[in-house]
Amino acid sequence: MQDRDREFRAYFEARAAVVRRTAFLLCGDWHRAEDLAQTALAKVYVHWGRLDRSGRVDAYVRKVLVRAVIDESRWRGRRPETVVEAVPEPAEAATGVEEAMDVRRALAALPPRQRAAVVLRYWEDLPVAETAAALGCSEGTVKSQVSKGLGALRRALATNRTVLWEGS
Amino acid sequence: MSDEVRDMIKAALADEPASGLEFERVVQDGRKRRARRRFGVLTTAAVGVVAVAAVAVSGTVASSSAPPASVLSTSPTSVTSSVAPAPGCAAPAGMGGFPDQPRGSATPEELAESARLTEAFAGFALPLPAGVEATPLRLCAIDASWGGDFGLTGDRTVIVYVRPLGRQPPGECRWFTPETQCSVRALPDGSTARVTVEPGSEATLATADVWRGDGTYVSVMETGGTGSKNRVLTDDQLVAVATAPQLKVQWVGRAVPADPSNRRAAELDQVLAGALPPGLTVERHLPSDEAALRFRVSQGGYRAAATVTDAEGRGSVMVTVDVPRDGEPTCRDRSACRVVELAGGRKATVETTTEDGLIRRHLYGQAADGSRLTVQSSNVADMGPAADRPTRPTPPLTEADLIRIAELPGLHW
Repeated sequence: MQDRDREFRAYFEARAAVVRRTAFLLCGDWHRAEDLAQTALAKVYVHWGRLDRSGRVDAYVRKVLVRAVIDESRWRGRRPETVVEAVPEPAEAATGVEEAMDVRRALAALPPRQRAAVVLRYWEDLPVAETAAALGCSEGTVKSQVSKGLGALRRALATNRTVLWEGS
Repeated sequence: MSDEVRDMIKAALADEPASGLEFERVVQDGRKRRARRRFGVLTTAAVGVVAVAAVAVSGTVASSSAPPASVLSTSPTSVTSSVAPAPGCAAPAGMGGFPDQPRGSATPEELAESARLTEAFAGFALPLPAGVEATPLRLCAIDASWGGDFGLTGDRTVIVYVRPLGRQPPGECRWFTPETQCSVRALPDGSTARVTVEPGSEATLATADVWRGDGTYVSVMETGGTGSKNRVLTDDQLVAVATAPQLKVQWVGRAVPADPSNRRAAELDQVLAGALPPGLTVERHLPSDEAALRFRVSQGGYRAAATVTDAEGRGSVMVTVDVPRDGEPTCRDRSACRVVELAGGRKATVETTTEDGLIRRHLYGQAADGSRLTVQSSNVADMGPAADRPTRPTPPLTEADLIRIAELPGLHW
């Protein structure tokens, strides 16, 4: 195996699952998430030497994922079918899978950029500046998108659950 | 606050299914992308120099040169106004841009076909716009297929690939990016043409694939260097090149599997319908999902994966059908693995592994046409952050179930 492949394998084994989860949170579909993750990781392989030296591999992956999801949402917007569901009705207290479904539906109801901003800030734990870089927008826009996104999630999930955040 | 939000988001991952991401497939995908990208850069560099010396007359291609080596060169010196017949050539192993990876070598018969195709195409009047010139095309052996490229005025390159049809049915449109445009049309001679245009951020790719009535498959792709987005050839002109009689391959090729398609995935759904044991129900991730095991095109093959439930709890099931290939499943040194014989004498391996209460069952087999089949089941539905713990005592499918599914008559590519 070439050095390139060996080094990339180490990255793949360490990060593939994380990339797939982030992709899922961005798109809401595990199958699609896997395709997105494969594409992002294949692109990393293409640019491995440069990315590895720069230490920007994860940032590159995030940018690929976010752009793909946002582009796809635009595309779907012009097609008859849509995967984004309406904001769900307030649910009974939920645990486990039910809770997962509630959160998933609430995330899916967010506009793609808001969803990406929330996922990158709070799941990937990125600073505002890096979130802005991944989204290709200003830091002010990130703050605005995150605020709106969290507000929408709060409204969707608040019933029968403790409001987990305030004033965001 | 951030930890609480993070925990909330984490909850969305509670029923994460088993990952189908495979290192080898990602690397294979990456290598193709890398080769195509590198090929574009090299070609553009060569074309940039060649354009100065090219002597092609507008509307026709210049006669091909006869470089001494039997390996394709991207050097500008390969383009002259010589009219000597070109010898056969083999595309270098690292060259990308083709559906196949070049072997880097060729049999005498492949070299002969390379020479014949190159010479024949030199006599084809390219349908070029006024003022556009083209460099010669040499079609070099790839792997029972032939390919090469020619440059066009305007920093554009046309990659031509031909092979025997191999009874492959015409492909269907697939949209790789949101901006992709695709159409399929029947031609008067019984051929089928698919035109795909991918704007892309680096360069616009326009491809005409033609499954020809004369038994040849031809792909003609116009691309360019980074930032090259203005096409030179129209859809019709690409199709005209792809239907050039001079590109008919006189070669007995092997059978070529069909491209994966949503249509075939839907057919495979019917094959799998009713294959789960009674009492097992497929969970829906969203209310809009169908409660059924559905195939979809994924990573170049077909995959059906689901969380299933019965009175014992939740577990996972995954069935994949991959493109037919040579070879036979083997246990090698895996002690828990055994080889079983499926209907028709086909071999399969079956293995059940247990680790910390997690029980996973795998079957690797082949359909009669050589399709690679995988049937898996585990007693864990959760593979995510809160996962790696059994969600039922045993997997929902027994080894006998795996074998029964692998033996379904219609489960193949």
